[in-house]
Amino acid sequence: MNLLDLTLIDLLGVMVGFTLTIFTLSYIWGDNLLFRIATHLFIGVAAGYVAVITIDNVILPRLIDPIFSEQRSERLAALIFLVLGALLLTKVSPRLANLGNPAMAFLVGIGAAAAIGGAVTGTILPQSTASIQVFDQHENFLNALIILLGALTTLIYFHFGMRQTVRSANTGITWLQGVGYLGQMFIAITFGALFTGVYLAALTALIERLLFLWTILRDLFLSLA
Amino acid sequence: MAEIRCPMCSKPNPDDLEICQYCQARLKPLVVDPSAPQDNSDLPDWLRSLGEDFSDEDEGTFELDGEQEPQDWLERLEPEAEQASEAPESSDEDERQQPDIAADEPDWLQDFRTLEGEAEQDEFLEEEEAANQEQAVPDWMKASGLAPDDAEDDLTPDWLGRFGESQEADAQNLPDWLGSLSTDAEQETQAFDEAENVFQDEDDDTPEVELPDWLAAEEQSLEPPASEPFESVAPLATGELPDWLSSLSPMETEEPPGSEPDEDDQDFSDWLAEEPDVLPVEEPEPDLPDWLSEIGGQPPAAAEEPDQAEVEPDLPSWLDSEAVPEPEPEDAEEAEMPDWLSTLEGFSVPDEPQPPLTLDDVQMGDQESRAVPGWLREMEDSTEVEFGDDAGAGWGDEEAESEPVVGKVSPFVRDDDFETDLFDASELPDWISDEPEETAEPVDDELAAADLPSWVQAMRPVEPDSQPDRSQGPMETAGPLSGLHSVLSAELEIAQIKKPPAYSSKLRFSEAQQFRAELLENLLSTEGQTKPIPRPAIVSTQSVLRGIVGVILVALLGLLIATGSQVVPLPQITTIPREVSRASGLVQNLPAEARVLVAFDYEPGMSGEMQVAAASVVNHLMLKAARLTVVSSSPTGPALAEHFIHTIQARHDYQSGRQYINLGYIPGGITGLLSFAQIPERVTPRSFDGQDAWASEPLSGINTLADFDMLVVITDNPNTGRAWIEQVHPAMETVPFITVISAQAEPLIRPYYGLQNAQVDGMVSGVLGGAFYEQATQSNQARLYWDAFNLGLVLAVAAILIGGVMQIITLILARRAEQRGEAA
Repeated sequence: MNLLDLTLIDLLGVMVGFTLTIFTLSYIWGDNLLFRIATHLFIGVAAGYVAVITIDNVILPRLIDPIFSEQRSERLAALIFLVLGALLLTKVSPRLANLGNPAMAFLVGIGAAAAIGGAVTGTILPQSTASIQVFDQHENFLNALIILLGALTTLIYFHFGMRQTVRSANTGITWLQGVGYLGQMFIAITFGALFTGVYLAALTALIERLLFLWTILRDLFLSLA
Repeated sequence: MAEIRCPMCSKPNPDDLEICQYCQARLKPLVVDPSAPQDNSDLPDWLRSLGEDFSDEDEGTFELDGEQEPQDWLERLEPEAEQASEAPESSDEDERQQPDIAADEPDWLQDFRTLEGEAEQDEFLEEEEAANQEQAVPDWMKASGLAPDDAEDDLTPDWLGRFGESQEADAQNLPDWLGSLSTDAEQETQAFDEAENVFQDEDDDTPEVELPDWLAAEEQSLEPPASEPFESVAPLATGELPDWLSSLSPMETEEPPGSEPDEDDQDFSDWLAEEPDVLPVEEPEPDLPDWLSEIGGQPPAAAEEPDQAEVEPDLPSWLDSEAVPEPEPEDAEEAEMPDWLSTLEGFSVPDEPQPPLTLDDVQMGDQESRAVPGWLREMEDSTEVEFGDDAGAGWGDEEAESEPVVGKVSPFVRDDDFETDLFDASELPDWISDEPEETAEPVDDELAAADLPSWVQAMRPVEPDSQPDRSQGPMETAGPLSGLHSVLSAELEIAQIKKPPAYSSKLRFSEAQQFRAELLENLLSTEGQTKPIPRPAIVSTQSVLRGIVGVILVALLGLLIATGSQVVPLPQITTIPREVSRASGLVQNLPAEARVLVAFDYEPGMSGEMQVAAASVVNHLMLKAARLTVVSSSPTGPALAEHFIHTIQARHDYQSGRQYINLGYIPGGITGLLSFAQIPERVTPRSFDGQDAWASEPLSGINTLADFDMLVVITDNPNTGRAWIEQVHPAMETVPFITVISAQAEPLIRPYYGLQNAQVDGMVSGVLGGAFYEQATQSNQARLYWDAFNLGLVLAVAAILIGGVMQIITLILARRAEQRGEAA
C-alpha cells in the first residue's frame, strides 16, 4: 500500500484509521477521552453501517420490492411481513407493546425451534456418538481416554444433586467431590485455552494494527522523503 | 304571768321561756302543735324530721277523725289480741296457713300476719267487738277494764314494761331526771305484783331466751335484785317472742305449772293489758313527755299507717334496730344522740324527766281528744301515707301491711306541679296516666303477700342483729336480704361516678430505651446518606504496571514489525497439524472451477487474525480457480469479504459476478441460516451489489447448498461456527466442510472435528493455523506476523510467569507480616 497511490477518500480513511488506532492504544494508560472517542465512533459507525446494510440488503429487496411485485403471492407475503414488522415497532411504546407480542412470539418461537432442533441434530447426537466411539480409534487411545475422563469428570463436577448429609459433611471430601475436582481441572484447562485464544487473537490484532501504523508511517516518511 | 315549773329542778319559770333559767332544761316539749306554725330550729334532727313528716301528713289525701281514729286502730288490734288470747286452735290454724313464715318469724310478726289475714274482716270485727272483748279478756282483765288493749299490749315494746321495773330497781343509779320516775316505778311495781299472782305458775316453765349482748348488759345493769315480781310475769315459749320482748323473759323465771305454750301469748298480753291499771294515770297531754309520748303513740301510728318511712327516722335508735333500720340513717341518728343515750343502746331517755307511761295514754278510744297528746294528735291527724319506701319498714310496717288501707289512702306522694311541668297528661301512656288512680285504690292483701315468696322468707334472716357487726360490712335492712351483711349494693356501684383515671400522654421511657432509640435513629439517618466512593488514585501500581507491560509489548512488537524481522522460522511442514493438512488436502482435491461457498462471519475487530488465518485458504482456493459464493450472517461480513478479496487477494483479481458472487447478509441469525440451507435462492435472491445472484456464473447450476463443492466458514465466533455446523451442514453433509476460525474459538469448534463422524473436515485456527497452511501453499501472509506473534507469546508467557512470581512473593510477605503482627 502506497499512500501516494491512494485517492483522497482512501487517504482520509487511512488517516482516520491511524488516528483512531492511536486513540484505542491509549487505553494502555487507562480509560481516557481518546479511547472513549474511538469506542463511541466505532459503535456509532458500526450501527450506522448495520442500518444501511439492513435497509439496503433486507428491507428494500425483501420487504418493499415484493409489494410492487407482479406476483400476488409475493405481495401478500410482503404485506404480512410488513404488518408483523410494524407490530414489532409498537414495542417501543409501553402502551402499545402488547400489539407486538404476536410478531415477537413468532420470532421467538421459530428461533427457539431452530436452535433446539439444530442443537439436537447438529451437536448433542453427533457429539454423544463421537464420544462413545472414541475408543474405536486405537491410535488415539490416550487421547480418547483423556477425552472420556474429561467428559465424565466435568459432568460429575456439575452434578449438584448430591444429597448433603451430616455424615458427608463431617467426612469431608467424598469420592464424588474428588472426581468433581478432576473435572474442575479440565474446565480450568479449557478456560485457559480459551483465554490463550483470546490473547492470541488480541495479539494478532495488535500486530496487525502496529503493522498498519508502521506501514502508514513508513509510506508517509517515504513519500515525504 | 303564768309560770311553768321545770321538770328537772321543779323551779318556777316564766311561761314564755323554753329552757329553764336555773338548770337549762327544756321546759316545753319539742313536739309542736301541728296546727300551729312550727319552728323546728331548736329541735334535734330526728324530732324535726318527725315534725316534718307530720306536717306533710297534714296535706294527706284522707283525714281521719281525730277522736274516733285512735279508737279504731285500737279496735282493729283487738281481734288480734283476741286471737292471741283465744284457744290455741285459732293460732294453730294461722300457722297452718303460713307454715314457712311461722316457722321463722317471731310471734309478734306472726300476729301481725294474722291481723293481715283478718284485715278484710274489720267491719265484721267492729260489729262483734264487744262480744270478742268479752270472750278474749280474762276475768281479771275484765275487772281492770283493759281488755281491749291486749292487742296493743302485744305491740307494746318490752321496754315499756321493763322501763318501770328498771327504774324502780335501779333508782339509785339513775340520774336525777330519772329519779323523778321512782314514784312511778313503785306504782308499776305494785301493778306487776298483782300480775305476778296471775303468771306465777307459768313462769316456772318458761325457758330462757337468749338475749343479745346489749340487752343482756342492759338487763344486768337495770335489773334490781328486788324485782322478783317481774320475773314471773311472762311465761313465753322460746322463739315466740322477739328479742326485745323476750328480753323480759329472764326476769320471768316462774311459770305456772301446767301452762301450755299456746297460751303464752294470751297470758303475756294479759299482764300487759293489766299493767295500765297498775300504772298511775297522769294527765295525758300536757305532762306527758314527748319522747315517752312518741313511744307510747308509735304502735297505733304504725298500726294505721302502712308505711312508716317518714315516721321511722324519729324513733329512738333502739327501736329503730327493732324496726329493721337502715344502716346509714341509723348511724346518723346515733350521731345525733347524746352520748349517754347512745351508750344505753335501745333505751332512749329524753333530756327531760318524763312521767311514767301508762296504757291509759294509749287507750284513747274512750277519752276525749284533749286527753290525746300532741304528738298523737299529729299522727292521728296525719292524712297522707306514703308507700313504696321500705327504708323505714319496721315492726310497725309489718302491722301496717296487715292492715288494709281503706279510704282515701294515696300510696304515692303526688307532686302535681312537677308532674304538670314535666308531662302532659295527654302525652303520657295510659298505664302511666292511670297509675295514680290505680294506686289510689286500697291495697289488697294479695299484693302484700306476693312481695316475699315463702322460700325467700324462709331464707330471710328474720331478726337483723340489733347490734350489727360493722366489721362484716353494712347490713341490709330491707327486702328479702334483710339482715345480711356485705350485700352488694347495685345502687352504690351505679350511682357512684368515678372519675376516669388520668393517663399521661407523655411517653415514659428509661435511659436505656432512649439510648436504643437514638442508636436506631442514627442508623436510619445514615441509611439515607450516600457513602462517597473512594476515588481511585490517579497513578496506581496496577495502572503503572499495566502501562509498563503495554509499552514494553508495543515497543517490542513495533520494533520487530518496523525492522521486518523474520528471525523466527515458520513451523516445519512435518509438524503441520492434522486439521490443517486435511483442510489443505481438501482444497487441493477440489476440481477446477469448483463451486465453493465461503462464509465471512467475523467482526471487523478480529479482521487482522482472520485475514491471516483465511488468507492462505482463500489464496489456495483462488489458486485452484474456484468460483466463490460469498455470504455472511453478520451485517459487516459482506463488506469484510469485499475488502478481503480486493485487498488481501487482490493479486488474483477476482471479479464479482464472474469468479465470485457476494450474496450479502443473511438476516435472522440461526433461523436465517436454516432458511438459507433450505431455500438459498429465496433467502438471498440478490447479490451484495444488487445483481441477480442466482443468475451469475458462480451460482450457475446451483439449486441447493448440496450442489456446492465445498463449504468454508471463516468466523471468529464459536457460536456462529456452531450455527453453521448445526443449521447448514446437515443440508450439505456430503460436501467438505472447512472452518477457519480464530484462536479463541478453536477450543469450542475443535470437538466437531477429528471424530469418526466428524462434522468439520478441516480446520485452520488463528495465525498459527494460517502459518501452517502457508507452509503447505507457499504463501507469505503469516510470515509478516510470525516474529511479532511469537515474541508476543513469549512476552505473554513471561508476563504471566513474572506476575505469578510477584503474587507468590506478595503472599509470602503478607503472611510473614501477619505472623510478625501476631507474634508482637
